[in-house]
Amino acid sequence: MRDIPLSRAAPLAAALLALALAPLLAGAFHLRFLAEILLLGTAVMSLDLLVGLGGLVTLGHAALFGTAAYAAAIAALHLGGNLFLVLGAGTGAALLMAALMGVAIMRSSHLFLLILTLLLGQVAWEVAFHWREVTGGADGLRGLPPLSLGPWRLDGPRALFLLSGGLALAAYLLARSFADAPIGRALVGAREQPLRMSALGYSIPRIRFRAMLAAGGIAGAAGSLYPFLNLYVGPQSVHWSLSATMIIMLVIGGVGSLWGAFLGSAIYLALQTYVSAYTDRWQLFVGLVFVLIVLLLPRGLAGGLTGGLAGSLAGVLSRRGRP
Amino acid sequence: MSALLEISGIGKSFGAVRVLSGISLAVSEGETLGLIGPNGAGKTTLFNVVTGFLRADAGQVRFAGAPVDRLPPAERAARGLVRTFQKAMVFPALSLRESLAMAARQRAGQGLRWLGARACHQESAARVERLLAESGLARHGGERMADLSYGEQRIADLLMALALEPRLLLLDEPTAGLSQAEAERLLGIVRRHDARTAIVLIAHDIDIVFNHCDRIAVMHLGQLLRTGTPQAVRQDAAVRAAYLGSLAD
Amino acid sequence: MGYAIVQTLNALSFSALLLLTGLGLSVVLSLMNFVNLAHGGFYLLGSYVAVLWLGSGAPWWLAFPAAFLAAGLAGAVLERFPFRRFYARPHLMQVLLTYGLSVIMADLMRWGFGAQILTPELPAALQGVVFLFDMPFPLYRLFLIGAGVALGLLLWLLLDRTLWGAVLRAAVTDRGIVETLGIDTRHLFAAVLVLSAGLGGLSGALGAGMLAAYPGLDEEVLILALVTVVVGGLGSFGGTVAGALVVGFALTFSKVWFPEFANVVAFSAMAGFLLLRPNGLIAPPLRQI
Ligand SMILES: Nc1ncnc2c1ncn2[C@@H]1O[C@H](COP(=O)(O)OP(=O)(O)OP(=O)(O)O)[C@@H](O)[C@H]1O
Ligand SMILES: [Mg+2]
Repeated sequence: MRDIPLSRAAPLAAALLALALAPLLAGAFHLRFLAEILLLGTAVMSLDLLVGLGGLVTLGHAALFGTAAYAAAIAALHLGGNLFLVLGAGTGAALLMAALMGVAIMRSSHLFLLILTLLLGQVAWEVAFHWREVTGGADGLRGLPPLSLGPWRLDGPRALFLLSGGLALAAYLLARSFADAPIGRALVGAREQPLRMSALGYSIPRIRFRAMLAAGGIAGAAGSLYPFLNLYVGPQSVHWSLSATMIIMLVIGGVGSLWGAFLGSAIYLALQTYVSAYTDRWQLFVGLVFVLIVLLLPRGLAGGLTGGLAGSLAGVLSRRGRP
Repeated sequence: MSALLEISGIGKSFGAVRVLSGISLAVSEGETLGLIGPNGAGKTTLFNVVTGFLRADAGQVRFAGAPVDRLPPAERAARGLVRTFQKAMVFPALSLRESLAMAARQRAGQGLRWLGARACHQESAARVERLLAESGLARHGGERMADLSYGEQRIADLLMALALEPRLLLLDEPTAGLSQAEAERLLGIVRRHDARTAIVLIAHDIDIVFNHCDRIAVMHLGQLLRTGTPQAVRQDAAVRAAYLGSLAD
Repeated sequence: MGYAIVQTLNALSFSALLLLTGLGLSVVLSLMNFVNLAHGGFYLLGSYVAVLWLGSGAPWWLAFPAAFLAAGLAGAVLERFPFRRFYARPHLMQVLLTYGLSVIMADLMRWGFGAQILTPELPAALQGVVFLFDMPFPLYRLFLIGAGVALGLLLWLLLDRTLWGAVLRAAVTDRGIVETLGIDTRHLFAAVLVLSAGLGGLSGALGAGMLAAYPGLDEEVLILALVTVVVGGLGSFGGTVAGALVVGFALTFSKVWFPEFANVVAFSAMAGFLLLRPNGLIAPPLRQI
């Protein structure tokens, strides 16, 4: 309620415009690239619900995303690429995984939570890596059927981009409503003053469980579509290093802003794609950018942008208010 | 008629230090009980045990006729067994209004809702405005808790508790650090809000306790020295020796 | 019988390595409340230094002090900037900063030392096997166990039994008081960080004979060390010892008993353990309320 509606409506309109224009302007490669940014960005945004609102730093988010990706790919291999089937299978699997993690994080916090989620995520990775008959092991699953919706095949870059864009937008609105709803406020309260929240009758474990389910559902929806960008899914989509990458993206973009997640995923993937074309040292670049942001812009680019804007606005207003 | 809160034989140690031993106490509906005792007597620890933030080593706590020993703090609060903390514990980044709404939503059973958020917010808003009006803090509703004065923060802390419509309110030194006038104002808010709420009040200011409480319980070194009317306690030799000393003369 | 003993010794040698690495982490965590995810980088740096040293023909036993010094130096540089500014910041910010630095260190090392797997040329004195109950056991692992016990003991004596350790612990409890005694706590904290980094490098040097050195090892080791410290309950010396034993034995014996699903079993067991004891094995008595 603190934000001015305009500050929310304007970026949303800009985002819609970009979504509408991109298919006209960008080529096939870039559309696929944008789709990847949007899907990963959606997963990172769901991570922001946990980290930004709840202060729950998890290193197991890739397990939710990757579980959904595998479930969706397996469903498609056996039953065909119907969009709703794929989304349902992936999101459902992610919700199951999230329920497991939600139970796990009910009572731990700080480093314990970090390590616990890491361990659970790695169990998921081990399963994906070793259960060859079902997951294809280290090779992953190839040759997925393309997504379809009734008579339409959704395998062109434009279709994939629009699909990802629609999903990202819906997920953003969903996450926003979560943050503004009582549950989102309770999650913030549980981060700020857990004892006071318990004394107010809020069950911290229940808050955390629901937050994890919400985040898992959103990450799962994004993960379900992810394999269909390249018709491939591999174990690295479950690995903890993807979880760490998501945290990097989140921090670059800005913790707590939700939309910063997309910014962060765009910057990270752009660095990865474009810098790696020139030098092998792209990870060095990512590391440097990341450290600089932590040092200089602890609230990330999104925080820096709005903070700078809001800050200068507030400065103008207060100067005017002074006699 | 059974009491609202019944504590029997509570014992609690931290390591080798025995902080509570054999505390038995009852609070009936609507009464105001003062809990006094020197620093380190175990008053706060007793609150922690009663509200579930610490688990007792021995004894039982019954609230509204049912044992609550195994319930987590949140569950006890939801049943109307509500406390405040010795240090004002507010949400520094939230506004006063949002903080009260947090409590009000929980009272309405909507604290964890996702869907239908707008209706929830509207429903809690009415309750919040009433509390703000009662307390005279309406002007500050939009301010961040961190920006309120210390006295206002303590009142805000109390209002959060009141927003839960408690049956029993445990107040841990709500008036510490406040001026006489501020303290009277705060206690006035409690009384005016709902006279049926039972209260246990910890305070070091003897005048406040003796003026506001129906009964007084005195703790010393983890034991309950005496419970009784203010006059009886004032005259008790053991209490004088342990605590009041020359203060009461 | 022999087999069981050999496996137990295997587990012990792994535990010794985990203990040394974990102690480096837990020392800064418990004494300075600083989470250092760049510790895996110090470890790997020590491994590379040791591999190069052992290949150079210089006296072999100097490889270990050399690794200690190299990692300690890296630690000293990072301590000046930017670690020092983050000691009082929340854990989340420390985690982010040091993770970012670990990414940078990892890529710099990949640049400098290449991407291949480097195995050290062990000196003759540490090569070969000994026979225990007719079962061969690598001599180097016995050396590791000895080094782990000796260094662990030394560190414990240093922190728990010397004046320096006492001042340090006092500084942790109340920095202000110690400063009024005329002791510069900044130097004190810097020294602890350098010690921790050096210890990381030393563990890397010792571990190279068992795990070799390659890009990515830093992260693997970091995670195991973190798990060790966390399972141990964050920070207490005894907790880290216990954590190292638990993790070392869990990983070794899950490989013996469930070769197919070794890590699944071991990770699940550790996760289950953390579910049952959300604050680890030996939790320092924290007063929350
Ligand atoms: N969580 C804890 N761990 C260890 N010791 C504790 C803990 N809580 C309280 N104590 C000790 O128990 C004793 C009683 O403390 P308590 O806070 O209950 O006293 P009190 O009567 O509320 O005192 P005050 O008037 O100063 O608030 C004190 O000696 C205190 O140090
Ligand atoms: Mg007290």
